[in-house]
Amino acid sequence: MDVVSKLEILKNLGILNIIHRLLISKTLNESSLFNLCDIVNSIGIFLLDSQFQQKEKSQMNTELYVNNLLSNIIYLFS
Amino acid sequence: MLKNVPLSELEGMTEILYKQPNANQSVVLSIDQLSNYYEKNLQSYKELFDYFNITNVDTCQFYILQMLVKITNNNYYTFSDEDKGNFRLCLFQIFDNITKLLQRQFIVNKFSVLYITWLKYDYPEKWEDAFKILLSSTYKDNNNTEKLNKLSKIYNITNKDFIVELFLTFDDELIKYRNTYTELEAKRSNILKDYLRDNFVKDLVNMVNQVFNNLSEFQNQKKIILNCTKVIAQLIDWNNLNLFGESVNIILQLLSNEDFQSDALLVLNAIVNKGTKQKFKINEN
Repeated sequence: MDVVSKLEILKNLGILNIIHRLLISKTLNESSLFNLCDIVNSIGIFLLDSQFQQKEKSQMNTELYVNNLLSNIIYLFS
Repeated sequence: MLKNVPLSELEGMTEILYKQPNANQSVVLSIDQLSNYYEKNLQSYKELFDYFNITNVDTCQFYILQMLVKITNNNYYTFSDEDKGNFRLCLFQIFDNITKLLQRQFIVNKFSVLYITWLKYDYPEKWEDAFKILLSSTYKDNNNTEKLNKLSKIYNITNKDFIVELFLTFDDELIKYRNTYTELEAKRSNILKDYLRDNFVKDLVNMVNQVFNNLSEFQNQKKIILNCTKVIAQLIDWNNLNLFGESVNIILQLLSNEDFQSDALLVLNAIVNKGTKQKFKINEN
């Protein structure tokens, strides 16, 4: 399954919405927050991969990579 | 030449080995000698199982289970069919008394490892009902719940508890670290997963849903709810997502409970990462 379809499925299943609510709830304990970060990290990677699938990752420097990751996550949950 | 050391001596030796950080070197040597004798003697499993049932010393029981794991790994292919049958019966005898063991988590863990080690070689070709027999023990009187007495309720819950523990061990031993397996282990892992996927996982998910649908009955059994949640997270990785609709709906409700939140997120993580290929992992460039 390609990452674009995967994100669409997660959205349709309501998973992205649930993750969004958890992110803004500020009620998570440390262990839950750690697990939530894992999930957001995966989603960020899917987003990047879908955005940059035409480019070689080696062409991106780390700063650009992280900036894009963050801006895509913010966009996703805005 | 190896010499037979009476198992009665094992009780004292394991107490020293596990409870005294600086155990005397002579104790370590003696226990090594004893293990060597039993692990290389094909028929010793009977004596070890008998002594497991006799002794009340936790450390001794733990050590015996560990020796039985080694005996299985060293000798499975040289055991006769009769011995294999006897070994399985011995495993079931321990399972029948699992209520007594569940208070001692480290022994349950080791027994789970022994059971899974045996299944690694035996399932499904030689021992097709290995999982179903365990599961059927949880169905006792299920249609007559109001008549269950306290003891059988405990038995019912205990067996469910053990089965989810067993599946967590199954994942640890035969799935989670698949990238590190030998060719034979990888092959066995795939055979087991394929068979379980077609013949057992649906029943296991139903059992887990029974727990989730009766949370009030399990309100003092936080561990079994947590373990059921972890099992669903693990199963999602290698099974059709459609199987888990009912479970996931209940697990999403657990997100609002601080006690279960962290493990419920493991289920979300499993859904998000299902089917993800290694290439999606970030590589340092």
